[in-house]
Amino acid sequence: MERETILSVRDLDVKFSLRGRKLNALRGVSLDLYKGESLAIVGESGSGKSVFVKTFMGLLDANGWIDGGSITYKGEDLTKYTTEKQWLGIRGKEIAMVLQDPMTSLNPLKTIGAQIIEAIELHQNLHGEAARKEMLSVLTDVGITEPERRAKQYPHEFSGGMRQRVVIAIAVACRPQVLICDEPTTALDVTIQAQILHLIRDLKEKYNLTTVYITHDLGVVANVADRIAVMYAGDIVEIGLCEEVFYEPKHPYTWALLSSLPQLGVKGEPLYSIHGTPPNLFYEVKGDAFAPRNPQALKIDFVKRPPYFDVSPTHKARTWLLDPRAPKIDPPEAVRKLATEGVKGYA
Amino acid sequence: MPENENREVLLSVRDMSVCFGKGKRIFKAVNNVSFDIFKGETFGLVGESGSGKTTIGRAIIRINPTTSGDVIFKGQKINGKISKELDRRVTREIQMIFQDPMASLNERAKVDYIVSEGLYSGERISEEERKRRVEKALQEVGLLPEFASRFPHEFSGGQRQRIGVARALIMQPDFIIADEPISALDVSIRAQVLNLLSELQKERGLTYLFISHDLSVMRFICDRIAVIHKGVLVELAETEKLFAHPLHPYTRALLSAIPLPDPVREKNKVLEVYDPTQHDYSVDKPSWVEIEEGHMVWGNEKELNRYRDMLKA
Ligand SMILES: Nc1ncnc2c1ncn2[C@@H]1O[C@H](COP(=O)(O)OP(=O)(O)OP(=O)(O)O)[C@@H](O)[C@H]1O
Ligand SMILES: Nc1ncnc2c1ncn2[C@@H]1O[C@H](COP(=O)(O)OP(=O)(O)OP(=O)(O)O)[C@@H](O)[C@H]1O
Ligand SMILES: [Mg+2]
Ligand SMILES: [Mg+2]
Repeated sequence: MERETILSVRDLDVKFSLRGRKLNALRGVSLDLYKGESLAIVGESGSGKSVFVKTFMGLLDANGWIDGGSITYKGEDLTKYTTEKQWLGIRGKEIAMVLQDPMTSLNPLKTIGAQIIEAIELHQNLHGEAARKEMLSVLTDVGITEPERRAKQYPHEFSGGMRQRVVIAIAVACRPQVLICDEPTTALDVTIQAQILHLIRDLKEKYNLTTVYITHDLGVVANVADRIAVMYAGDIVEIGLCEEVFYEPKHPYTWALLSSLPQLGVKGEPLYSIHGTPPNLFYEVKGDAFAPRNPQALKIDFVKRPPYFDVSPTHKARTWLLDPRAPKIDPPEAVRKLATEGVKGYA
Repeated sequence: MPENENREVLLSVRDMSVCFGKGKRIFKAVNNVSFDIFKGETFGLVGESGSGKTTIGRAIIRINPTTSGDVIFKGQKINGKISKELDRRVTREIQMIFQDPMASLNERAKVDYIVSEGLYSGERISEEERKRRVEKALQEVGLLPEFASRFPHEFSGGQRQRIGVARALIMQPDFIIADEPISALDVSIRAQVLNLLSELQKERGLTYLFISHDLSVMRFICDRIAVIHKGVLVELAETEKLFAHPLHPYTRALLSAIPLPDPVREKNKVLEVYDPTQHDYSVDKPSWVEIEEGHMVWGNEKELNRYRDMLKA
């Protein structure tokens, strides 16, 4: 199946400078994002998920820079952008972002309505009464009742879940092509989380959005993702269809990640957790970055960085285990259990 | 652990209410809640965003004043006016891991200071000893010792959250209120932090009040779970009992919405929706009732009868 690529990243390197030392936050990341798909990015904390998506919008912190590679969006290489003016053509308009903490994205001093109207004026070139009408319709879109009254309120008068809806409303009001959600529902309880995920899915259908989710909640991933990218130490180590990554994972880090799920643990016994700490990104990483924490690592894992091996036309992983010459190593028990029995539902 | 009567109660909250604002604009964030936490257990508190969970935690550690009711810690009342000495003891023995790691960490201080801040107000210790404890606390939460000289904004979300955990652990408290201590963590580090918390519990007999949205994690680590909705406790039971026989419709909605890390099941699950208008409390008033041993639920006579039937079925 040929799919249209909307955003294409090649060999992206990002570095940060910290008191004279260089931190390698992204180490040669490549990704094709397909139009209309829903991609989930999962992975170790500090592996570069947020930094990665920030590069699409020119939002790296001042001490960080792109050190190599390309990000192609609609024929333009975003890594060549130098001015804020260029980025304003992308931000919001083409690619919009919803962050974990809605409070940081909202202005506490302006009413909800005013903030949405601002986005509409800027991106849809509607003004006055037309902009106001559109604002009310967007609020209704995201499931806020009594939009007339609500529009006049300030962010602190909204609950966490409602604020997150507003942030989504603002993002969608810009009519972007790509919507990036970085931990969009971590602060919300599961019933509201379910509503918000539903809402994003509806908006995705309605506006043919491409969505990228970053989340640590593998349950949410199972719910929303068409495809999953697994990041470790500044690189995507495995990518595939949702079912492929959950039921036939190939990279030892993905195995470890799934094994740590509390749903697969035994109460009263320690949960599986990965030994050691992630690599210090101030140093050059040699071989497979996960090798020092992988008890079954091969010799070559410490020497040479693995290339991607194809598992299926839609699934690939950067691990020497997939080399035809590698010994056969089975995934851990918990991972096999997930594939054969799944996890139990509730109530 | 069924024999609750024989267990030592560490913290007892009785008919506690917490209000914000004054006069006409008064808002009751926590409404007459009562529960006991036993020594050495992990007590979970779950509920909607804005339902009053953090407020309960903050009322216990005396940040938010209580409007009415009692908070009894180790047999002594600790809310309202108390002696300086008791206040100091409470400050040391009860630690809170705060929910929002970004807002709770002083942005201009280095991690070294942030983690050991609490130590400055207690017994005097040497600079070497302080450094040693910081290093140990950082290692316990899986951070490199060299992180001590960095600032909070130089960390990822998950790393910052662990700084908050280290900051509580360094005080060696008896009772920890952990407010969403794991929400921004990836599953593996979350497993590490959870294992660490339960190890410390075994070693030091620690007691936890664990506040979270993540019911999968709570099922794994909590002995008992209380469910709160708009400032009112609606159900409390031993964890497995709650998962096996949820009674209150809000509890049922919560459990049905838990995301399952299993795409086939998750994409086909059926949600139960909670409609708060289903309760008719105009005449038949609700109360907080022990419906079976150790299982509390909020409901009126009519509802309680229905719940009793559900338990029999
Ligand atoms: N402004 C900065 N200065 C220095 N280092 C930074 C900066 N921002 C991020 N980093 C580092 O870059 C790496 C990637 O960070 P990023 O925020 O992308 O992680 P993440 O995968 O989103 O983690 P989490 O799941 O915890 O949010 C981390 O090692 C982090 O410490
Ligand atoms: N200082 C304050 N002044 C006024 N209202 C407050 C204050 N602190 C909390 N509230 C209100 O009290 C209610 C309970 O808030 P609380 O922070 O305890 O909720 P929570 O259950 O912890 O929610 P979350 O899951 O989103 O953290 C909310 O409606 C909140 O807006
Ligand atoms: Mg992040
Ligand atoms: Mg809270």
